[in-house]
Amino acid sequence: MGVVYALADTCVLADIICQYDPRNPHKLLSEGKNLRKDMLKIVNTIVEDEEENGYIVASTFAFVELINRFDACFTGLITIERLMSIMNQPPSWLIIENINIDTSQCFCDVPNSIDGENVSSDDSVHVATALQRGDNIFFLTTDHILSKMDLPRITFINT
Amino acid sequence: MADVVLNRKEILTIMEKGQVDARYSNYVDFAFLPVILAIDLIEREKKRGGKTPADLKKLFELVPECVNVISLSISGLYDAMSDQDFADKYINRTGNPFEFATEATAYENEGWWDRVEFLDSLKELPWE
Repeated sequence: MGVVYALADTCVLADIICQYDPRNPHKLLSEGKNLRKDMLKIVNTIVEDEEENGYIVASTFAFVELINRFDACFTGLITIERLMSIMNQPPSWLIIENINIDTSQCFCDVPNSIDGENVSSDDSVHVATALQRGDNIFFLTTDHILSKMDLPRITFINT
Repeated sequence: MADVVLNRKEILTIMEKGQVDARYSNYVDFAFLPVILAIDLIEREKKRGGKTPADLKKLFELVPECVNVISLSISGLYDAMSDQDFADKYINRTGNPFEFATEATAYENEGWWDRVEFLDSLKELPWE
């Protein structure tokens, strides 16, 4: 089996960051409001593996959104300094992707509506980031619209 | 010579015609285009309709060499957030994250633009 990639959208990433302990980076996580049961299995497979056969992937844009809605995302569970420290020195199992010209090219492939429901530009950046990787990737999201997307190499997990 | 971010109309001209308007080239050495701003523009084009994904991708192929397209990395965002004025402006702002990300691009460590002029030029851009 190859390397496992799982992109976390902003809400799922917030749950992961809340539980991340830099003193024990491979500690198993628990279910959260957004980090649901099936997602958790994938995330914990990656987090506990010290051989690094898998990675959580997040867009730099997710961190923009986390800062932009800091109190709503973290409800006092972490400080801005803790978030900054993760940005500066992320855990070994977390890849934070740049927003670059490849992202913009992939953004063109993301539909702006599914079954008549609009896909937000924010969400489209996350989907573009998943496409950008060019590998099979799980996409962890609680968004019901995104889960309906049918895109190559992306498996949406919303439970 | 000023370093500027181009306004949306000018960016679209560049992307559709592949050239910087002569009015700009007379006083600008290099134009800087934050890629997140280009994504915002593509989103507007998607909403207008009438273009396929292939049509939209072609817009990027036409961006001329004299336009420097800038990425946003997590280290650039970290540097932006290390500027207390910037951090105070955007923490919990709950505004348009594309505006936030575009302004953070000014802190990318490519080192050869004037950040003050860059940020000043961004003030010309209206956001919803």
